[in-house]
Amino acid sequence: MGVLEEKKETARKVVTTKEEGPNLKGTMIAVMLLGGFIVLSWFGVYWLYLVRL
Amino acid sequence: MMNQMIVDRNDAKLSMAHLYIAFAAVLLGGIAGLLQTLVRSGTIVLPAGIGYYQLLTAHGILLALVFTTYFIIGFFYAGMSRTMGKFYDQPYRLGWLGYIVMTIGTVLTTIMILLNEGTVLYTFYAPLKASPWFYIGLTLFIVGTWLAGGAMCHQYYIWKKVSHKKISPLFSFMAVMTMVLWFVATIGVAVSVIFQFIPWSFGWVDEINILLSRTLFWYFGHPLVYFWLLPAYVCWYVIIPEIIGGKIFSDSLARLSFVLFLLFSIPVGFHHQLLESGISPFWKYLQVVLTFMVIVPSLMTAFSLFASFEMAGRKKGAKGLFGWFRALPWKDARFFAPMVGMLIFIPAGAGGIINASNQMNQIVHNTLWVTGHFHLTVASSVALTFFGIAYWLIPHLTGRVLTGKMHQMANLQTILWAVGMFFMSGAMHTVGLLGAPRRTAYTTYQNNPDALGWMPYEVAMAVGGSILFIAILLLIYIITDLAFFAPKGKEDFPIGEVAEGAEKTPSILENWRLWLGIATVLILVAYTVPVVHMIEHAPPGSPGYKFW
Amino acid sequence: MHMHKLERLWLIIGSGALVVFLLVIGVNAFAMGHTPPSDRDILDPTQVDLTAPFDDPGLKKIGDNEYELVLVAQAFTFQSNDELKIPEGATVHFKVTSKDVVHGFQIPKTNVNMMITPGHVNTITHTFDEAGQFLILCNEYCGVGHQAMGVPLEVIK
Repeated sequence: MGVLEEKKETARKVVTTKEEGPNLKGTMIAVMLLGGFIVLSWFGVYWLYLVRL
Repeated sequence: MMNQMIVDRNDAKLSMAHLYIAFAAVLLGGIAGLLQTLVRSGTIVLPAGIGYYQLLTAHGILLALVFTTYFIIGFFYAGMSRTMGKFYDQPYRLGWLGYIVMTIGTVLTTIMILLNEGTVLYTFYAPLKASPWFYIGLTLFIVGTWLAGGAMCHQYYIWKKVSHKKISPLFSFMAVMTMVLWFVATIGVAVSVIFQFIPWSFGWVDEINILLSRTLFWYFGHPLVYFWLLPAYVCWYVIIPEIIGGKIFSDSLARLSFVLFLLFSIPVGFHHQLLESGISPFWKYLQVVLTFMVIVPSLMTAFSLFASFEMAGRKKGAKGLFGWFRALPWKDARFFAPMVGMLIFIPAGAGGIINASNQMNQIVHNTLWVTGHFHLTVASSVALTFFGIAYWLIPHLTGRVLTGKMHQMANLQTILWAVGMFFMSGAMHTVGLLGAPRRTAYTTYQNNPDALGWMPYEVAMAVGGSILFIAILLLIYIITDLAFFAPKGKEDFPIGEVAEGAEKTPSILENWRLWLGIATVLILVAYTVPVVHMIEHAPPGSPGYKFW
Repeated sequence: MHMHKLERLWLIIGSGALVVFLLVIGVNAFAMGHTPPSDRDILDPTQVDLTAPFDDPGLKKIGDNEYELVLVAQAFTFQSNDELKIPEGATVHFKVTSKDVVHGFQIPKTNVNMMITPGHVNTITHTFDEAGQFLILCNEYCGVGHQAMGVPLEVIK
């Protein structure tokens, strides 16, 4: 990576920090995976409930 | 001055006194647990005299009540002393008094279980009737915890007066909030034991109102699980960020989540009584809705924790979406054990939502699924976090150090725990969906084909249980080493700092009158009408039975 | 209180999922009649043998392939004066109470699962679409013989 690009990235980071707080994209994906797991297992058991009605 | 780096020596003794009993209970309760899995799978038959349900009672009381409560109180004393300074004389003496009363209660109850006079399991549902001394022991235990909570509240009160600060240290705030939750919750079980069980078991009254006793128990029983969980959250919010070289993501949101736990963890006991007569579907559903409210602070916690990991990783130079995950200190036992606990909380929480989902409870109620569920919550997420705390707290309090070798042993312990629990809890969840009941000794129901189909899972439970027992032996070895034999030195008591740029904590979060007021209103809304109905439309009460 | 943009988004999505769960079970329970077993009838738990219909527990045909099965739970069995045999496709209304301590009432592979508390009656309905061996078992600890408390239920073609 060139020096220029690195500089650009630092500049962008500073900007994002000021406007919308720290970069938490990884966090967001992690919690969405967690949420997906919850939704899947919930509907799995709900399906079992319907089948056994 | 206020933020002393080392826990005062006397406070350390008080804390350690609690931790010794906590880990002794783990060993005894673990032995009972191992034997249970071996009996249930048909591997062994208990030698004459010992009953499966007697072991089950001992297992539940020693692990779910004694281990958790003693550990929590010991941990809180140490952390409050660390963040607010040495305990003042009065609260300090009250702390010891609480310890003595709790311990008398524990010993009395344990003796009754050993004498087979209290084989009613740790939920002691009437009209199974234990010896009155079993209930008196439990009462003393609860009174002891009230004295301990009183000591912490008193310390907090004096600190606030002396320091003139509006906002207390995060650790101490969370500790006091947990104990306040405990006060409100235990009122239910105390009323039931003192006014229903004790007079009835002495024979002063002939009958007991079954439904009311169950409702008072579960008014206590659900916040009880939050009483276990919140100290683990204290570690995740306050201590882990420091260990990973990061910062606390947000002080205000951490406090807000604890406030929400106080408000919403109590008026939800009906989700343990969803399949019971005498409570209308409307009130059950209302409490299911309130139960779902208490999931929100856990969603907040999940975000905060991942955020503090990501920020710590990025500060260290981790790149990409998930570089921060690899940058975490996986070899550090103080991090690894609680982190595995956090990850296990994902399936644990998902299972909890399913349990509380009104009529879906018919799929899982009183099956081994539920046993599998709380072996993930309290027996993995909470227990592994407590073990992770003990790895630095015990050497900190005894003036020793956690060596590199012990880090490795502790990490091995965590791995064994996770593997053992994968087999045991995984098998329990699966066989529970197939309909195998919990709290049941070895049986094939006269070679019923369904029941025979459960056997392979019950064997997997025994395999998992055996691995877990090895993990418990390893744990006891580590704890003993840290308490008595590890090299002398200074082990840190990590307390995280709040991230720079995080906003100032609003003082409304420490407005106890406000939060207790709202909690009371919610409890009254959720319980008044159904409880009045239970009393006014009660059937004749039940005499006691001793079927063991 | 300030919150990170993504955290706000996460809480909206997460709470949204919880609302969906509540709506799904709420509609299923109240609009489609699948509320959990919550019978309000009471009786004297020491007089069960003298109280109808528990004075003569057993299977009663109440309609076209529709039955009421009255059972008395007691340590350590479920009492019935009739054989527990029902035809395939039958809808069975279970009506159960306890003569002594708290028991459970569960039929694996179905949604039949309820608490039997002394002094109270509990009811649940299930349609057995397929023939086969079923097992009624107690899933609440009731004493030293709890693990023996199960009776077979046969659904015949």
